[in-house]
Amino acid sequence: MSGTPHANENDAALIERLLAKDEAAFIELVERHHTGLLRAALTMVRSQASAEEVVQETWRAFLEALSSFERRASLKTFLFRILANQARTRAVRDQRTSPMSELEGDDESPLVDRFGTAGNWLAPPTAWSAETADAILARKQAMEALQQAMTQLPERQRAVVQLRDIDGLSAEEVCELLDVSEVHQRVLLHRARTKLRAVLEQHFRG
Amino acid sequence: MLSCREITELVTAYLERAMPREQQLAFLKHMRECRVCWHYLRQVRATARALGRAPAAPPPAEVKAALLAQFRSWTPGVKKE
Repeated sequence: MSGTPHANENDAALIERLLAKDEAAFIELVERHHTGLLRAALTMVRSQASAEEVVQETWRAFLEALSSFERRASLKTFLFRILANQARTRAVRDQRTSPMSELEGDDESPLVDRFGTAGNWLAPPTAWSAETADAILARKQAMEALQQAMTQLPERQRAVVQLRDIDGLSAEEVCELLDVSEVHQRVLLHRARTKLRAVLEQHFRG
Repeated sequence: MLSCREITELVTAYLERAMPREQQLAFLKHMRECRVCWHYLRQVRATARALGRAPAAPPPAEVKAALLAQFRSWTPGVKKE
């Protein structure tokens, strides 16, 4: 699920085309990553307007840095790294000294009432009518509920699940981008996925 | 012996392959014996995968046009002040 850590052959070819000012190559890259960058930016700065500016700055900085790109990382990693730097600068300017400094709100696990004292299931989950990604994707209402639930997650959990599960970055990349430890990253991902699964449970339980 | 509650707490560590070997064996043993937790694991994994495969909205045409204009005025290897 996660992106390749190193520049692959497709990346190499794309970089050559970009350096030759191939417009189709640039549009291809924009179509592939712009929306993901914007969603990631929204987890790092306060407003839609700030996020849009940050992404625009990211593309500018990306082009400026492209000829010196050393290709040890994938283009995607490179883009998201630039984004994180731009977002940090922006957050400071917006006087949001740390984009991740807010307290997490109500954060009770959705499973809290479902176990007995011995850790046994009292209210066990049942098999779902859809237990594969394809089957879930085919249910529009469930996917809408999932997207809606994403917006309700505490900020840090939303950022991690966005970058990991939606944008497909690796754990290491997300730790670097959000400046969190490996363990903390996993805790945030775990809490987010637990809640999102509980949302789908409403739709699919037998 | 891991309890079902502990299993639900370890699901992400398992999927991330961030478990000590012994714990992984205990986790897998529980999975073989507990149908409920097996479904739970499948559901968490499917949820994460569905998120990643939801089609992203393409950027609006005016955004693409603005970025393309930026690309056209870019000279590779030259840093604009």
